[in-house]
Amino acid sequence: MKIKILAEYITKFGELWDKSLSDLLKEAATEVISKADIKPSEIEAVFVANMGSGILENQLHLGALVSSFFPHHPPAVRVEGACASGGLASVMAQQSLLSGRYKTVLVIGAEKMTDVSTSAATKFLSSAADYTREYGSTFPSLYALLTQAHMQKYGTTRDMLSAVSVKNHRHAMKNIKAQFHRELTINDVNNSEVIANPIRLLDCSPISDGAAAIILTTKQTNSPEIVSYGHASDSLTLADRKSLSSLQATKDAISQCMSNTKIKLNDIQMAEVHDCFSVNEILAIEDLGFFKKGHGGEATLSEQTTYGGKIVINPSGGLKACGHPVGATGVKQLAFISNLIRQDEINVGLTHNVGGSGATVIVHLLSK
Amino acid sequence: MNTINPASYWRKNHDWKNLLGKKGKVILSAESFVMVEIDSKNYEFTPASVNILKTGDPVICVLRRLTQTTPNGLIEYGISVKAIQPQP
Repeated sequence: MKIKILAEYITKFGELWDKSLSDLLKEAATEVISKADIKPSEIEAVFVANMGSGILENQLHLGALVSSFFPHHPPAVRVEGACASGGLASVMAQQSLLSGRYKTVLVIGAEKMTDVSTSAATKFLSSAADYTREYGSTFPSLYALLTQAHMQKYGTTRDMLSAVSVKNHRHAMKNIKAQFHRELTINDVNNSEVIANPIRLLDCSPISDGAAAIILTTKQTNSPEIVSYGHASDSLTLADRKSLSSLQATKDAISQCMSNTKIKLNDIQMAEVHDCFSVNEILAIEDLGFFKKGHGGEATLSEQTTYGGKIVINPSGGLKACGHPVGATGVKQLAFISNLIRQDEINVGLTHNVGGSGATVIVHLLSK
Repeated sequence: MNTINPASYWRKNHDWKNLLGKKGKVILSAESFVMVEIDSKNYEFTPASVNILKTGDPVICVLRRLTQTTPNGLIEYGISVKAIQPQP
């Protein structure tokens, strides 16, 4: 059974004062159905990805909220896996299709983060860590530990980390939906404010509003195909990890994903990876197998991860420059790569979505 | 109780202004919360007055403080309904 992406839609990402969470979900649902050129009644089930609406908006029961947009009220469920909620919702949707229960379903992700203060958003994001064992941590502080471990083990430099943000901001210049349209230099990143040593402000993905949607179907169509996926978990706390210079869940997820297909890593032309902080893009491109362990930083600095290099990483601008509305991110990655395949810009692409500091990872492989 | 944050209030304000002064009829009442039909559409409100609204009562939309206020946060105003008093 083949699972195809019938249509995809991404809202503008950014600080969207005039859009509520419901407005964003409604825009994404309406537009993706319009692009798919199907009747709303053909949506048999809805999978909604979201992390924080209960904390940030006092709005839970999002499955029912999205279902109420449809006259026939399809069955709907909310899926939460921190920043990997979008990837997880896609996995749940695919399993429902593979079971034969449904033929066409909607996967939609959204987050409304800018209605609260930065400190409130930071506190909300920290709920993706172990509340009892990592009390007092913020996500920049957890990723700062991972950054230090990578620097100590492989000699990763400040310039290598900064090159991730510089490249992603350059890629976002072509993406009209991106939150930022501003090019950066290595010096801009190197000299930005320290958030949690050695992570600086311009290493961090922003607080964003946004939504994204895809329609998955097992019906016959020429649309892009989800060839395979991998879904893995690791300990929630960093202290329990075997290694801090790689994310084991990324290794496990890509291993699962590639074991189900004849497509090789070298066939992948572009990948959307989870660059919530600079170091996580370097960890990702190494742990996914695109570059040898310890060489991800140098590859980024020497422009092997942009157009003209070995592989294009984060053509959308990634989380850093396109934005990171948490629940939307995993769906946006799929929508962006699917659209590149639909536009004949690439034949094979990959998405990599991480929850927390690597406790949940979902990898999807897409092709024509 | 559902409350509203300042940004949501700002967005909803555009909708609320269209309801101010509109008249309708109570179709269901739980005393502290009512459903009202206005121009053939149903809306849910907290009543503005202490007088209990009953099914069938004619009401008018007014702007009222909706929740208990504290020194710390936004004073939450929004659309409420009050009974239309019969003309003497």
